Amino acid sequence: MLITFHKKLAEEILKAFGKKVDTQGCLVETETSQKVLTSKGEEININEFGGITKGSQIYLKSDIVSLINFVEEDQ
Amino acid sequence: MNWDWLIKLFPKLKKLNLEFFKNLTFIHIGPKIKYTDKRSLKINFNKLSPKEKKTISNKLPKLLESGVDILEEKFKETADDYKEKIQSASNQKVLEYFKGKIPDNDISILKASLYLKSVFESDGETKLIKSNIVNRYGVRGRHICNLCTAGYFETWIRPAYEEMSQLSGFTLGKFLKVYEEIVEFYPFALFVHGRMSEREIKQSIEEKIKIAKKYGIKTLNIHGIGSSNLKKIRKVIDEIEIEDKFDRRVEKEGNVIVIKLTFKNSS
Repeated sequence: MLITFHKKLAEEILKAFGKKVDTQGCLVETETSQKVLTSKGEEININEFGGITKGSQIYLKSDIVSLINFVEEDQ
Repeated sequence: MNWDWLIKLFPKLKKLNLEFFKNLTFIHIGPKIKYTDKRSLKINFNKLSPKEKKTISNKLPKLLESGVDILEEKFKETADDYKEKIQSASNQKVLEYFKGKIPDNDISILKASLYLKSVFESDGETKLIKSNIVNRYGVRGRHICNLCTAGYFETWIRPAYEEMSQLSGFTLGKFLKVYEEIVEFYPFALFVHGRMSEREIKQSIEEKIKIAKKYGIKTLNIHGIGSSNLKKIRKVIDEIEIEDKFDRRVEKEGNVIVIKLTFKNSS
């Protein structure tokens, strides 16, 4: 089962998980403004937000290297 | 999975039989109305009332917990494209061969580079992929990507391994030393990009000729994309030829050009 969303709705999706975008365009926790990081500890700009993977809310960047890591971990 | 909340939200879904919900494998949340096929449902989020939006939003974390990925549309498309292209026989042949022979980190760069090569070959847009690779892996990423897209893993690095592995006393360490030199200097090739001036191209070619001679390599392949690049490279080679004699052959396929120089007086 998979859910996809249109890029324009990224902020709506993030809102559902208690996240928002700060003034620099980075994903942060709505309540604490703490930066949301990828599993590799990288900050995520809204323009490179690729989605959230199942389980424990792992946030993805959309660059090719992160995408390959996602595909390989998903297989 | 219980879809009662979805039917409550979209009463029209009541028309669909239970089989549809059993087979439902894909939901897309987008700004436009899209048709549904037998296994997918496309929700026009912008048309929903605030209450309906809230119902969907409240359900998303539960769906994620139950094992559902929530992916940006383009990310999903690229992931599917990557899965398909990386599985091609030619890409798998390269990856299988080099696994365990070159560092794991380079295998990751090689995978991204092979994908870039496949996208390029199918006339896709490669600029962003290349800049992603360089941003993540720096100069090493750029070099491996250049070597891979020009086919040098198959035409230089693999033959180098095969030849070396026949020698007595061969160790992987010995191959890796040669491999590192290829990745760092690629003495047999120069990649000319559009922003290089004629002066920079000339300097780079002269430097490569020196390095190639040092390694006893008799050829230098100059790679470029586009006719303006070809013009610049040709002009520079004409200037250099006065000082250093070599045969030249131009191979052109579409917009991709390789000028092959063979040194006449190399030792």
